[in-house]
Amino acid sequence: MNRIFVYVLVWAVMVAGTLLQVVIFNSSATANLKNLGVVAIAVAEILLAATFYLNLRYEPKILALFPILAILAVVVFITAATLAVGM
Amino acid sequence: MAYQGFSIKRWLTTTDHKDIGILYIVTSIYFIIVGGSLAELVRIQLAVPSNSLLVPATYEQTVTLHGLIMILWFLSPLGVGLANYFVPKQIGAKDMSFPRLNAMSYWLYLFSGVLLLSTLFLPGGGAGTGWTLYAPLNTSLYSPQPGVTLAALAFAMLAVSVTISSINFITTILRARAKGVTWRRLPAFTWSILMTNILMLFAFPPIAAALVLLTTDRVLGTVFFSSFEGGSILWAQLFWFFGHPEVYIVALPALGIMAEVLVTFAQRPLFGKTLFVIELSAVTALSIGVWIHHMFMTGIGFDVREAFSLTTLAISVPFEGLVLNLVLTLRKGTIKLTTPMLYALGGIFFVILGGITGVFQGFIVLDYLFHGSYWVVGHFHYVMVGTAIFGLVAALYYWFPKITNKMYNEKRGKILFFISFIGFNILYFPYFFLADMPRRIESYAANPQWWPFNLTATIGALIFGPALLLTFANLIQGYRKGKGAEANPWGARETEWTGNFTGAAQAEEGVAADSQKEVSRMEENSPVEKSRFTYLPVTISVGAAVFLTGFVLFWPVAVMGLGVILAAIIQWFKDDVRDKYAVVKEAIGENWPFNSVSKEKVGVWIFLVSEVVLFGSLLTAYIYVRLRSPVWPAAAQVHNITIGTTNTLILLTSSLAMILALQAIRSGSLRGLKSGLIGAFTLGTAFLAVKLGVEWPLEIANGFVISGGLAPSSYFTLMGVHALHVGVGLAGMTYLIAKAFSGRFTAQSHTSVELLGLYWAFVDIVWLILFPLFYLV
Ligand code: HEM
Ligand SMILES: [Cu+2]
Repeated sequence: MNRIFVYVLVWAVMVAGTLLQVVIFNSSATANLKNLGVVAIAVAEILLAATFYLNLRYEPKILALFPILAILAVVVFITAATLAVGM
Repeated sequence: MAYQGFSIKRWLTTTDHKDIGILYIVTSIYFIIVGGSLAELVRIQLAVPSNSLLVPATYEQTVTLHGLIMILWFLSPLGVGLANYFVPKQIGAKDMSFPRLNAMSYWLYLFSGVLLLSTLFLPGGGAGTGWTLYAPLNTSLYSPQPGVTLAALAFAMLAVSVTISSINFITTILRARAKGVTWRRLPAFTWSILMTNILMLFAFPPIAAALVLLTTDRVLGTVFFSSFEGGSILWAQLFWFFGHPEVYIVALPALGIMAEVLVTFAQRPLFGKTLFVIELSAVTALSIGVWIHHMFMTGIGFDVREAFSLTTLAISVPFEGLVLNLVLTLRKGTIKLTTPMLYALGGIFFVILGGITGVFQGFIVLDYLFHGSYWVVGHFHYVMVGTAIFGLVAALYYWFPKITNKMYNEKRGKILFFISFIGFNILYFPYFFLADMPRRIESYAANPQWWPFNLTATIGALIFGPALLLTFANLIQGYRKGKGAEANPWGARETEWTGNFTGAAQAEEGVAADSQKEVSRMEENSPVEKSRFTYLPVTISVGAAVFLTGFVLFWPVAVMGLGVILAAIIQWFKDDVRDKYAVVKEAIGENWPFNSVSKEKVGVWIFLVSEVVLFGSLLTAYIYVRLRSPVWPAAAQVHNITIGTTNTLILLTSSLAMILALQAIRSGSLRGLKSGLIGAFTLGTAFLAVKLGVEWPLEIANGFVISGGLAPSSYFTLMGVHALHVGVGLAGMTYLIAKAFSGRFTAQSHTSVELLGLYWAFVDIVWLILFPLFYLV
């Protein structure tokens, strides 16, 4: 029963996060601030989804390393490509 | 084995790792004969400064096909074939973790090659872009012929094959090691294959992404690579992010083999095994971060190039370290110069020369001189042909008695080695004197001073090519007429020969015999698969080839191909529902740190890694073009944010339903499972309906069409790929629902629900990235 409660709670937080993103986007903040807010919430939501939907708690820790490694590689690549564009 | 002797049915339907290994080996040898003949044509063309054998367009296609076939359809598949045969044997597994997928990898590989070759016969021929398929030469503007689209799709099909097989290998090595095969005792060859497959997992999704974008460019009118906003650099980035790791994908298995061969014939343990493994891992990790050294001349920022010059020098340290370990293994050894040993030593000689030339190119200043010249061609032929081919031929000889139970003709083997070695050097060494001759030209009438070197190289080619051909003939002859071989003619100590996985042999003979017995008892007791034969992998692969051909040439044919694929997949699911292929349970062995995770789950996780890299590459392309574009339409002007938000909520809720379904069956409630699945399915369908049925028509009506520039290009392509994933998830759910309604899930047995749940969560997460990036930021 409490597991179900946790899942529903996570879902509710993500729904709220999505709505918050839209609110931030429609606000009158500066473009940079808006982007920052939207991206920060997205990252938080992804982590939430990964931790709960993927049930990481029941896997050996090292499994979590795979996707993290993958995400790291992607981040490195994106950063390098962005740098390459910038210069 | 149900089939004795030769049977076409057996070879079409087998899922046995040894059979599939042989299929890979034989097919790759077929491809080297094709690719090698093309190379001979090139060399004959260049024997004199101007020659009319090949007109420029034909010459370009010949060189392109040669490069693609040799690297992608010969070198790495031969490594995969050997690995298929020997990795399970080295780690004491009965088979690969997913035998049917293993067969599927092979058939996809074979038919992708058939597609590639068939491009030659299409109007306008195949790709004439060089194996790097550089943009904008690869776009419809410069290469309008349909053969280029088909070649790109064949390449993408190969990428799928490679990804499936790398998931299979990694899972097998992680999960199926016999008792005693701890990480410490994992054989060198298996280590090299593990690293190779990790590299494949990271390298092939980016090229698949690039090829998807290239295809949408060529077929649907997107403008990723034809745009002036850095289209050609975008291609180079994606290609070399794949291309550089690919060179190590080719090299590492050869190094692993050399380690095995040197250890056996120097009769010494591998020098610094732990260090060797660390160096292998370092090369693997670093090779993902050096690709810009292929782009030193593209005018990207100097700082970036400087950084990549440093990483290139950095990677040469562990790489040369590996070579040093091999060389030091020989010290104080009692060396037996058998044919495989000669090839391994030859390979080491070439890797040293090739490695050094690579370091030269790693310096930006020097690369100004070398880039695009025959010096570079010399460099990579020394490593690719010298190291990789010599290493792989060493393996063919070394494991020949194990595969065939026969012995090849040693004397002929040695003679052919010397001819090959000399021919090779006559062929490639002159290239180092041609640092001013550009690559990929079909005549050099204005520069007669290049002629002597070219003529020498051609003579070398006419020695080396036939020698290689005779080498294969020698092996075939050994198979047909050779004398019977003992079980372990080399006195090798590695597990694939001894069958002794606990390492007791070195200490006491008696213990070794005991553990031998234990192994065979293990085999007797484990449940036997109900069936090992299936037509489905070959059917799906034929369907895929038909589909892709039709997609390029005549769409009704594509519909047929799709029908075949779908029918076969449905049959596959039906087989699963009836547990027709209940795969062997491996005896409990070493599987730290995955002791409590099923192999299916490990497989899905690894698959998700490849998916992360795929979407990561597509997203990178999107961010890249967006940053490069001087203007980009504001999201609010082109997209309806209300629709986007609604769809986000729908998908989030669908994920919730899915996880609740899983939770229900965990506590034994079949009813909860059914309603959860139906909820998830309905919401997922709603998502697609809104996306494709409401949102896209609205946007298109507003003039936001796929061919309308970079913004719609990236929007429709990424959304399309995501929608495709949603569709696949929904198909999986239909299967689960059918299975649930036939009451086949219980609290104890519901792995497939959990696996699809993982996948569905992933599709959800991708959307959580796409939504803000496209609708808000
Ligand atoms: C391990 C075996 C290796 C293989 C199979 C290999 C393969 C290749 C290939 C195929 C190319 C040419 C790609 C093309 O333009 O078509 C190439 C270029 C290059 N390689 Fe290697 N290589 C190896 C080792 C190394 C090492 C150890 C280094 C340096 C430490 C290195 C540095 C380079 C550089 C800098 C280039 C770019 C040259 C240019 O295009 O100007 N390579 N290599
Ligand atoms: Cu490279």
